[in-house]
Amino acid sequence: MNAVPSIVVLLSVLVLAVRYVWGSILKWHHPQLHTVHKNYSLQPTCSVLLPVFMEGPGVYDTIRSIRESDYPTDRLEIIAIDDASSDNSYQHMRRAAQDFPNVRVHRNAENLGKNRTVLKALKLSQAEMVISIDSDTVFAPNTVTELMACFADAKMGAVGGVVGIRNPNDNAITKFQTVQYFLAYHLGKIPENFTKTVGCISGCLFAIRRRVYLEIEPKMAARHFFGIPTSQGEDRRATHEVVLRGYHTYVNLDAQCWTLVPNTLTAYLRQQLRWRQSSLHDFFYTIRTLPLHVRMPFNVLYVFFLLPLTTYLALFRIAGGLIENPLWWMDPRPLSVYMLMSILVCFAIRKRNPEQAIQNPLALAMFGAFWIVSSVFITILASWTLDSSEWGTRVSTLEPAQEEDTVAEEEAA
Amino acid sequence: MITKLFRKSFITAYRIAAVISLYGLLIGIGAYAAVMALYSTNRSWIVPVLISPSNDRVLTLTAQIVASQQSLNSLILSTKNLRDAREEMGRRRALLEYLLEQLDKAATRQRADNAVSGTQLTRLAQQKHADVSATQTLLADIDHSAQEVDRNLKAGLITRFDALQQQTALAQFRNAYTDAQISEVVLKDSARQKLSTDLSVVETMSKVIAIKSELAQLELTIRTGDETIASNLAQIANIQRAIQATRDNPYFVAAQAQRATEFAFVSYDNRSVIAPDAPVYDCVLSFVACRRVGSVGRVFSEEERAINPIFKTDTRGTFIQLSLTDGEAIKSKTLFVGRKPLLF
Repeated sequence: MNAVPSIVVLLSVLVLAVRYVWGSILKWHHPQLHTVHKNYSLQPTCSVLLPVFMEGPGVYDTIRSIRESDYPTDRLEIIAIDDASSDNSYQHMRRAAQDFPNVRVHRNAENLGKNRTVLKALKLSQAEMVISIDSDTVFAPNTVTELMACFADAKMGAVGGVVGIRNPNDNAITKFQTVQYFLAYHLGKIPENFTKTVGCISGCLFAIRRRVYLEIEPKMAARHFFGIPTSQGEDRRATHEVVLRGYHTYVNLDAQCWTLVPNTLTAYLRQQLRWRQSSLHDFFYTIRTLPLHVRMPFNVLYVFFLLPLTTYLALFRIAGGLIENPLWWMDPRPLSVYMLMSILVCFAIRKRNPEQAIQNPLALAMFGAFWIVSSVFITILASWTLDSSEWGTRVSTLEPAQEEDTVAEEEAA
Repeated sequence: MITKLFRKSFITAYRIAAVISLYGLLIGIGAYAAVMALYSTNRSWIVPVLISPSNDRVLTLTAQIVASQQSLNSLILSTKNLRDAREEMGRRRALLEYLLEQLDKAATRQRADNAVSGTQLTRLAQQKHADVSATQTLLADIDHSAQEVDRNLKAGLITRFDALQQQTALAQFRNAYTDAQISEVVLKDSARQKLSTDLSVVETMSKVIAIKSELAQLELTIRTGDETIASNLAQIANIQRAIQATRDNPYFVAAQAQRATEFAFVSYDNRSVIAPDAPVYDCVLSFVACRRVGSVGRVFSEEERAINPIFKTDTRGTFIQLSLTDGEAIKSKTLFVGRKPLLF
């Protein structure tokens, strides 16, 4: 029993070492080991699957940014489906369909959830590749090109990009997330790229071979928690299924997109809860299918087992710390380390992504303790709400649907 | 069908467990916040401590006390011996001083007597000398009388016996003259002795000097002894104070007891509520449903350090002795003195 704390610390240190130390070594000393061969002349046909829910006018900006891509217009289509939003999202989608070519818009008669909406859009696609995105995602002109170039590798199943923040300086909450995202993509994903087994390609920008998506679609559609359909973490589960089928997954650090992040504490906590639920769902799925993982490259166990396990390890460490010293959380040292790291990351962001440059990085200090809140409250809450299936970030204020399924389909000439 | 039933049962159990766990978490958070708030503001909590005679600090203190007591006993004995010696030396000094005084008086008296008798002897010696000189003139007549006796004997005028008688008388006269000369010399010598510094006077002075030297030595020894006694007395007082201070120590009390003794740590912040005989309360979950479990005994003043049982910080304070009616209360994380923390 006395060995448990030591094992917890050992595993935590191992994960931190792999994520940050090994990630740094790969990033700065062996970049060739974590990058793939790209073929920009490949240019397969591609459908962007755009599930929309309560997005308002922002969805128009999303569609426009995709259409302003440098990818050949005739090889890129957009399939947007409104998941019975009660706001005017659908009107903005229709306006975008009129303004830009190769844009198809649909509307669900009732709220189906993101997962089922994406799968519905998938069935409407005939392209070789599909890119599933969030309705608030804005593309860089070369994003699609960069994503498609990675499919030169025949074993490449799914490719993601770097998700940046559109509203980094709204308040301390968005500043905090900007640092979090930057660190996660530019360091955290490097060890996973090393073996081409990225554990979670963000649903903000998820490119996948359509045939692979169709292959995993039954599994995705049948996801449930003891009979209750679940919708959280479709991106994580899709990535997982791709890896389990022997395909590569990869995050192309040159494929940039931007998304809006929650700027209120409530929305942020709801999003974190949804993410933690998906992480735990995936963790238990890994345990259920552990023999399949053991036969995979060694990094798979790190990605699908150790990383999610750190969620509980952190909870254990905090609980142990609080039992040992109830004022443990007031220790200024972790906060100081966090502040120092944040300032360094802020400098890196200013250099690499000046559009996300954070004003007054010291405002991040208030989120130093968020790790405790996240690890204790969100983990426990997520552990006991795995049967939940709401969208999460946006609170549903649904009114009865006025139109039938796929009541409109607008296609540009 | 079985799978469906299992899933339904599992979900039901899961949701019940979820409700229990999440409410438990909420209650836990509430209790944590309440305890933190209470202990941040409350000034009457104490930390019960049980100290047994085999406690390390008790054993160390006992060893120190024994060593101090031994030193004290040794010092007291040494001081007593020194005092005895000091008294003996004092007596000896008094005797020597008396002897010196008597010797001085005797010498003075002797000098005075000698002066008188020396003068008389000198006069007698002069008179003796005159007598001897007068006798010396008669010696020629004696020699002439001796020749006449010889002639009378040869002439047969006197018998041999008569001649012998007369010659003997003449010899006695000569002897008397010689004795007178000797007496004169002796008389002169006696007079000289009486009137000048002779060996006996020197011997007397030597004795006086020896006694004075011994007295000085004795004085030095007495002074050194007095200083040693004073130093010892100061040390004894220090050790006695230290031992006395040690007695005002919970570990000493624990050392004296035959069984484990009940104490409590009181942080300096909470000292104001501590008073002998003040009631002591034990509470459920360290802050509710309190009941009286005893009272405060002795209050010690020596500083102690302890880990705050709630905040786990290093805290300074003192110990108090508890008089518990419920021995189980000593196992509680904290107790309260004076009044219940939440009035119930």
